[in-house]
Amino acid sequence: MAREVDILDEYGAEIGAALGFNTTSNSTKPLSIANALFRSCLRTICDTKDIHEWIVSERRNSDRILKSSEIRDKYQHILVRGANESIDDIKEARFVLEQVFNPDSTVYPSYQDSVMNIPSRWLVRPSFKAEARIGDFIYEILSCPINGKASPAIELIKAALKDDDDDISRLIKPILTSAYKDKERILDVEINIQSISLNSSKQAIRKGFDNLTANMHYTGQARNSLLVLKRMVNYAAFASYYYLVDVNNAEYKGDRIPLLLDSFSDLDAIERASELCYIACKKSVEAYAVNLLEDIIRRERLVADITSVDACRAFIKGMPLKSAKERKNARDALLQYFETFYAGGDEPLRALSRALQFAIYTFTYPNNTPSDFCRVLGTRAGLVGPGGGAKFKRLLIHRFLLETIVLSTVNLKGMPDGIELRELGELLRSQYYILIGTDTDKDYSLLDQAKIAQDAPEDLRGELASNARSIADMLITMGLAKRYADGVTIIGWGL
Amino acid sequence: MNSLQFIKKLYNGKNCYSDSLTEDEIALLHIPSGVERIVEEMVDANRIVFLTGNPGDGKTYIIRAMEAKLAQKGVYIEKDMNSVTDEKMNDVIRKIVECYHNNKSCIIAANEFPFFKLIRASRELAPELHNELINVKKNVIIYDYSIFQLRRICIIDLNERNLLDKDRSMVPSIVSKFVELLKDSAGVNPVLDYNVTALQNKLVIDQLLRLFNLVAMSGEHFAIRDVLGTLAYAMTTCTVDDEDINSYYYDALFSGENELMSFIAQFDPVLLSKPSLDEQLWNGEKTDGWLMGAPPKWPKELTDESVEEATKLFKSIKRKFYFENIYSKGLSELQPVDYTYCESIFVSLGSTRSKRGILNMLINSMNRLFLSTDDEKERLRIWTSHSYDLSRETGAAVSTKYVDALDLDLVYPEPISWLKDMEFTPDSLVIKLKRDNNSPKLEIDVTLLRGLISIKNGYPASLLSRQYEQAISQFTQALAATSAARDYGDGELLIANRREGSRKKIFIEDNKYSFHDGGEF
Repeated sequence: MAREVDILDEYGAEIGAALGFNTTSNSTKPLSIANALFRSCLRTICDTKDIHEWIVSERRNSDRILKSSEIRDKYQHILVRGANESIDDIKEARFVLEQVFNPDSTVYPSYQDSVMNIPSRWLVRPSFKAEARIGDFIYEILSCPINGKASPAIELIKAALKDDDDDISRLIKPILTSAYKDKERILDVEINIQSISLNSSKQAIRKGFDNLTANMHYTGQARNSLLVLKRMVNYAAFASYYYLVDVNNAEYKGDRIPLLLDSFSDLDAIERASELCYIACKKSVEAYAVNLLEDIIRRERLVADITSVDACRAFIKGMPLKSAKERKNARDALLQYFETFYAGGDEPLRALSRALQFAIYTFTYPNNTPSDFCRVLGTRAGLVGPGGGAKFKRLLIHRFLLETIVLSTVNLKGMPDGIELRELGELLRSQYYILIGTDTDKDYSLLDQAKIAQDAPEDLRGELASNARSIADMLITMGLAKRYADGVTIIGWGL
Repeated sequence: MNSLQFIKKLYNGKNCYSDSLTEDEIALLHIPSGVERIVEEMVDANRIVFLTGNPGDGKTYIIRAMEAKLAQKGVYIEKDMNSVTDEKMNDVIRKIVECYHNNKSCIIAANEFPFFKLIRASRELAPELHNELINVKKNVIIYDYSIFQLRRICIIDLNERNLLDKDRSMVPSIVSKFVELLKDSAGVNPVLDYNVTALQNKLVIDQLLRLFNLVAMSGEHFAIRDVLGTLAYAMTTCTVDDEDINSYYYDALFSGENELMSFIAQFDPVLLSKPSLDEQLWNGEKTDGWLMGAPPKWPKELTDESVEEATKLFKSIKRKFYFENIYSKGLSELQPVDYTYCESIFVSLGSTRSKRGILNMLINSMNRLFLSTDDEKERLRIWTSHSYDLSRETGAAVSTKYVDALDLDLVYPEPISWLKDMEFTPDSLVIKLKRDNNSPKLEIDVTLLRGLISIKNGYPASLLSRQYEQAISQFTQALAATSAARDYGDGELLIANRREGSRKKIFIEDNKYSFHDGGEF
């Protein structure tokens, strides 16, 4: 059967390709990003089906899961009591192993769909859909030569992955060494690295990785391989979120979105303003898609005259769509969206692009919009909260991510005397457009420009300073800052 | 201005800025401190003295009190770096460098932030000065023995001076000074007379000191301005013409509004309850043991008129009882146990046996952070957990190693030898490996210490902030990389189910598993 051509699907795919990763999978978890990033760094994958057999315990009901009696028979050569090992003990052990190796719910009865939380090279498996290309996207940024050199983050990650003597990896050593020799388990893979140019958002991300690496070495965190991996993946997840939000500015000079971080201090105006920033983030992603669609339409010249309403209507009426979409009246809906946007004052091309964007995320990706992606990835990265089913989300910063972001922004080695909190605020603003409230006037005016301040409660200006103080409190407890009684907080290491 | 007016204005900063005081007033307020002796010694030895601290710590006061001597010696003085603009900063540094190289003394008083700016600016302009400054700064407070040699520069950080130092508290000196000064005002106000008399009583002073000792365990730094203001308010607010203000010192102490008083209010005796005593104090049955005479009226007598008034009187009597009744010890013992125990820890660290007991308690609480049912106190377990998803808590942790309590040391900070005379109370402990200068260190500030004490007393570990768990985890992970980390033996590995507080043992011997746990935890 001939493949059905569908403009909405094709444009949807083009958005993903232009962006560098897919924003349409809600199942993307930090571990999915880790798998792809680590694979690109190591250029190897591992066969760990036997570990998977062990750790998928019988608490789940699936035919694919081996019973503990089968595990005993199959693996009796790595059991001290061999065939006499108690089934109940094996069952219990598998249950606790599952807790250790599946903390993020990324392990399923199917080995092909699973990625296990092994903090070493044994984690890395072939590509799977939920990776959404994010790990590859990050690796492309890391490997892009700057002054002829790739990011030092790659070497740091590789070194951390090679260390498999940590407590968690030790738990699976008998399984790892039982069935294959190392070289049979580990397969080399070809990595298709696209040569990219770094736009301003990617430059900020690259700078972040480079700073993070230098600071982890400087603070001694680089000696802890588990922490290296966690920190790098945490930053990668944040970076992909940041890229989504900022790419419209980088590529189309769209408005930069202020990211007002809420320190979780019960500040009403901050909460509201941070909620509005979060909404603006999602709108920015949509604005990028619309701008990109405009480019595509111009480039493809499928619309006879992009300044003509009738030509746009004709394009919609004639565009190829899959029969399934036709059955859902996608064309009529698209036409209706177009008419609404046009009537609202948009130019024909703009109205068409907005209508297409709307239709793509209604009919092609009905359950996985970039907005949902932002919410899910942001929450897992520690940027968006509260978690669970909270109705209103905001940029509620997790302390681990805050530390990661700060380490990606400052140069601790270059500032042995430290810098003021105000200066950190400037660095965060300049690198990511992150606001924490360190400069009330400047931060307020940026929120005002973004039309966020107007919709927040009146005392936003006053609460910005309180928010900055709470952020500083978090940094102080991490050993990254010191507060003097004259109210000034200095950021630095070993102060 | 008479003495009463002068003392009254010490509250909330009025009259607390030394720049605005006359020489007579400076002399009036003079309360001897170890720091003055240190500054004198350093100036005599022609050292570059940096007197740093926070606003109200007494930097200007110390300089002004020595002004004549300093002038005689021709010492270059910069009384307030706050007033030095960025443009003028380099001039100040040049003058310091001149003194530095010409073996002349100078005194620079700077709040902490201007001092930070000075250090930063000196990096380019005077690297030698900068390096020495950084070195001295890092060695002012030490753990154990230090070989650091004082050269040209000394930094006296008044932020480290704890005026509530248990052994050298300035509180009795200040009270005594105020009592002396207020004798001039005898007969002006009967309550003022009462306060002055009461505050000459040993029991009252002891109870006051106990209260300040508890406040010292808050981990906050209080400037001399706060202490002066608090005691001034407690003693003289009775002379303010406002019927809403509580008059007697024992009430006033808990009703003022400066930062120190907000901490004191946490230990208000009103918050302590012993039902039988409360009943006696309400009914007027507690008539013995009062040093300043029993209360003339009891709450029960007011019940019919106004319950509100009766309650107000009850609170006042309870405070009076706390300070002035010889049987008040029972009430003092009810102060929050995490604070009182915290205080006793710092007192008893000198004894090897006590130190061991404290270390074991801390080890047990740290172990319980990861496994709430763990009774282990001789071995600090090294727990590892790993997850990438920050939206959920990691439920499982693994431990294959521990560090024996015998290999760990518990030390507390002390000022370096040339600062020994400074009033100082340690506000943190450090756990480190014995006999290892490069050992990973865990600094346990009083907040963490109180948290660990609470865990020892059965509070859930989840109440302790995650940031502390992170700090402890980083410390134990760093210990794991040292030779002090030991395997449990027999290939034993522990897995904690943190949500349930349960634990499973797995053994790996000769690369083979054995899952038989051998009993409940």
